Amino acid sequence: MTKLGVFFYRLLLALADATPAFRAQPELVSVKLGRRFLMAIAEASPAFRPPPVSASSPAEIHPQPRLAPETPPASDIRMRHPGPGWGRHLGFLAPLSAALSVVVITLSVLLVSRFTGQSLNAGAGNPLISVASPYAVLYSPGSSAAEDAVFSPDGAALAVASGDGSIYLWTLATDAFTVLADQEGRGAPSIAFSPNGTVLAAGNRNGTTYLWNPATRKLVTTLRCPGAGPINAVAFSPDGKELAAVSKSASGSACIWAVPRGTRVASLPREQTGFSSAAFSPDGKILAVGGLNGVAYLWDPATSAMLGELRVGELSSISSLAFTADGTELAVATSSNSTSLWNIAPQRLIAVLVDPGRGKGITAIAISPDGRTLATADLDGNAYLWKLDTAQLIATLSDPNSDGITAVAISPDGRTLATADLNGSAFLWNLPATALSTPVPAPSTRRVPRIVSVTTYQQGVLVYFNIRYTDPSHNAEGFGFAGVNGSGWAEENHPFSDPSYGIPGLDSIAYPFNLACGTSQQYSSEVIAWIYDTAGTRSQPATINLTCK
Amino acid sequence: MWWGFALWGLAGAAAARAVSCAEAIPRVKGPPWRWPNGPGGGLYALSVILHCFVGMSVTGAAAEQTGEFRHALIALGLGSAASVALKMLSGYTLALLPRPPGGDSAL
Repeated sequence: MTKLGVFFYRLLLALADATPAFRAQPELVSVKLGRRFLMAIAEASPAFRPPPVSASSPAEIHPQPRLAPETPPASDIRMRHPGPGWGRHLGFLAPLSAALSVVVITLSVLLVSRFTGQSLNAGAGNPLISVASPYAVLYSPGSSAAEDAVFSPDGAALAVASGDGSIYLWTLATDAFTVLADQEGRGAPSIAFSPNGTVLAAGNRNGTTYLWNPATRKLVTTLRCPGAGPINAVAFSPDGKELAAVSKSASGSACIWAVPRGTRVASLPREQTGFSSAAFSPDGKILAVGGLNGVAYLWDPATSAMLGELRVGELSSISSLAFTADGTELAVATSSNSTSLWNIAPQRLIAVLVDPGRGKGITAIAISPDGRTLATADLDGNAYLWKLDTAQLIATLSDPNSDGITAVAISPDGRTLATADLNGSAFLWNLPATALSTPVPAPSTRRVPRIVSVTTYQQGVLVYFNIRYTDPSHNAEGFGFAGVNGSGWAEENHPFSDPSYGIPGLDSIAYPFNLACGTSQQYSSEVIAWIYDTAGTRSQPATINLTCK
Repeated sequence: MWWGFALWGLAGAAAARAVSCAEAIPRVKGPPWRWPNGPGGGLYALSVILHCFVGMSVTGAAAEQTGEFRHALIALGLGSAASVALKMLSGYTLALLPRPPGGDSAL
């Protein structure tokens, strides 16, 4: 046998525990260790002798070794008897080796627990997947309940608003915090970072909205909405140029200011109800405001025109609102323990997610940046993660303090969830990979737009093509074309939202080409054109002959 | 966090190895890896590393594919089971090979 062969043979012996030292594996380890332990005790104490092990006792009923039984070499037999070295300490070896294995197992568990932040029983009882205990705990020094928590836009800090009026600004990399405190100490039920992170707005129970510079911890300005009671929610527009603040006063008050100047640009119509929450759509064209009467109002922030009302619950108030990343859907949480998912255009109810808790009411919701995961939190002390596309509950996170959770936020990278509770603590959780996965739609379910007809028409020197297409999955994003057969048109792609010279219609697009029609230089051309969807997948191209009539 | 479960699998495999070693020590009244009683220190260490690697890999892959386990204890058990499976597979492979003349100790 070659050296390499010997090496692998001996490695196999080691892997299979097939050397004489390890060859007793058919015997139950526990029986073996227990018998050795008893024998060790017997040797140490002459007064105690274990009963002789009969052939029919379980310890002697061994299956035959799996490996080919053969008479072991003399050297093997010799090794089974106490040698001059360790053999003297036979009485200690069994308990020592048992203790060694216990130590190794315990150390392994402790090390992995510490390294991963997971306890060994992590995940027990969760609906589908395990979410470990929080990997960080931010204990606010004050004794007041946390009222809101938001991540900074760069994800490096977490701001936690406390009921005593303090705002704790945690730097997550160092676990250090700074405090922003209003002078009156009446609490900030809602806080929000501007999209560029330079302003932190805090709506206060005294009816004032404070704008802070989080870098310098200086108060930039204060804003007051006429007639406003305690400010319940603040929200920045996506471009960061406007700030909406809504009040819980019975007459209802909602103002929009230009920031950071603090000039009031709009006051939304009063609705004879207080407001509890506010959220701008990602394109900034809709301001959704949740009413204490269970109605979510959709306003155009530019004109203050009412765009619609979503009647969510007659007997409950709206506690939180959140738009999906693409702005097509709005999640509305109510105090009646359900979160409803609404399509914005047309306005229709898509799904209702019922909180599995004991029914103390949902306090906050957040949607992940990719728009696939919804986090809800309730006063029972649980936060839940839901898959938005299937409305399926995927995980439960229980507040370690067993207190009601008052705020929930998802980091900008979508990997961390923050919860804050009535005890004033904030917890950071690693979101499970399942919640983060970005499933690719199955080919059978995602249908690409299809061109159904192509016509051309002439206007002056221009010849237009007019493409009609079907869009079964409602995901057509734009159109494109390129010259073929010697035509010099370079490839162009334009979204329907910015179609260049194109004229989008209902499932149609027209685009002009200057063929110098009616002049001495008029010419013909040939292009292929296509429709592409949100995933960038193109339809089957259509070949179009462009000629002057 | 599949890698967290992979570490639990590694711990499970290490635990299985520890039990195996603890079982062998009283039997041979000495270090069980010493040749010819055991495979030799280097090979024994290599076999422990391979066992732990297999336990970690199998558990990590299962966690990644299944969207993580409901319980970290499952990962610990899977790591141990992977180690035991490797041991059995190696035993079956060994049984298929011709024994060296003079027995294993003659190598």
